[in-house]
Amino acid sequence: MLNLLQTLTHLFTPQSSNNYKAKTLHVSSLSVFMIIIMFSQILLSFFARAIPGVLGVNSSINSEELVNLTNQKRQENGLPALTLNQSLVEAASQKAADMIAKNYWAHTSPDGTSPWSFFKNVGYRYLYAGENLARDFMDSPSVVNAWMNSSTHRDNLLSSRYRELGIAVIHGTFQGQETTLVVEMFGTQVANIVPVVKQGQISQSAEAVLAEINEVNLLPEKPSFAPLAFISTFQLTKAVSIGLTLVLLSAIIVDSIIITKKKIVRLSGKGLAHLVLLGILLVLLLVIQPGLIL
Amino acid sequence: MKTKLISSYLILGLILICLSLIYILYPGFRLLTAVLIGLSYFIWGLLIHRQEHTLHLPIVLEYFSLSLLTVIILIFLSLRA
Repeated sequence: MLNLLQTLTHLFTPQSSNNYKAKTLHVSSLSVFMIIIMFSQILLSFFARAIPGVLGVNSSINSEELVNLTNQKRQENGLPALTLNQSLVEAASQKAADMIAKNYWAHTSPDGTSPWSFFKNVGYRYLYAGENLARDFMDSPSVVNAWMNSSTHRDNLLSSRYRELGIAVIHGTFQGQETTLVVEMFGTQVANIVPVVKQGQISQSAEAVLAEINEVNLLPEKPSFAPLAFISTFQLTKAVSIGLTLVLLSAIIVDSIIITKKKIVRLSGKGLAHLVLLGILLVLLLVIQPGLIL
Repeated sequence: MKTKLISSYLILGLILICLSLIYILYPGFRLLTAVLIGLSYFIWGLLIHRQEHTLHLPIVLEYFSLSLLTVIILIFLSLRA
């Protein structure tokens, strides 16, 4: 017990044993923290590959909620709701499966397969088409909010050109990590427009319009193809980082108070500046959320 | 002297807040912003101690270590996000 107390005071308070500076703030300790972080990240990556299904993103995203949220955003902006089209759902599922099989994160696959190929594969004859992608998000609102915060994705989500959508949500191992992949596809079938547009103009305009659109949403309806991860590597990294930052902040505060109180003169960096840096780091750690969109 | 120090802290705070906003609002620039946060803090430390004629190797190493630790934490988190 006494040893523990001595160790703690050595680590957190300035005294003769640590040259009047909390040991936690010594360059040697900071270097150890860096090594621990780097080593733990290497271990995380190793375990994510060695034991798939344990580490990754444990998300609650589901396609039904995404459809509802998409339509909610559209209605808030005075646009008609999109109807769920099973062909688009199938196309979205195929796109997600293709990304996983070929291990790529892009609208166009490495072999040049465009998103529009998936529309054609399922026999969806489109006049307008679009795609949005998302990965690593924890819940459906986060996905839709991220799309709404990106101008190109928002344009897709709130486009008056689209009548239908299809969504696929797939949980599985992607690029070596357990994650949730979301594909949302928007479209308007040629048949939907025929009554109001001259027949001859449709087929000519379709490819041209398509070439202008580079946003595609893919959200597979199919259930996960791999078990859900129950430990998120992101949350784990975040927790460790927050813990370390709090330890450093505590050490700086205790160290600064004692130094000021005892009027100890020493050669050291500015405690207040360290507090500002670590305070901002803590805020960033608390604010940052997982998820990528494309 | 005190006013100078206060303004130095205000500049540091302003720079770090601006970079933090970029870090949060533009996920595509997270890695670059993380490096800039660490770099700006390190340079600020060097300048302020040079001004006070207290720029010695242990202090340089202290700012370097803390900056590098911050950058490493932010980069790893960005890669996991």
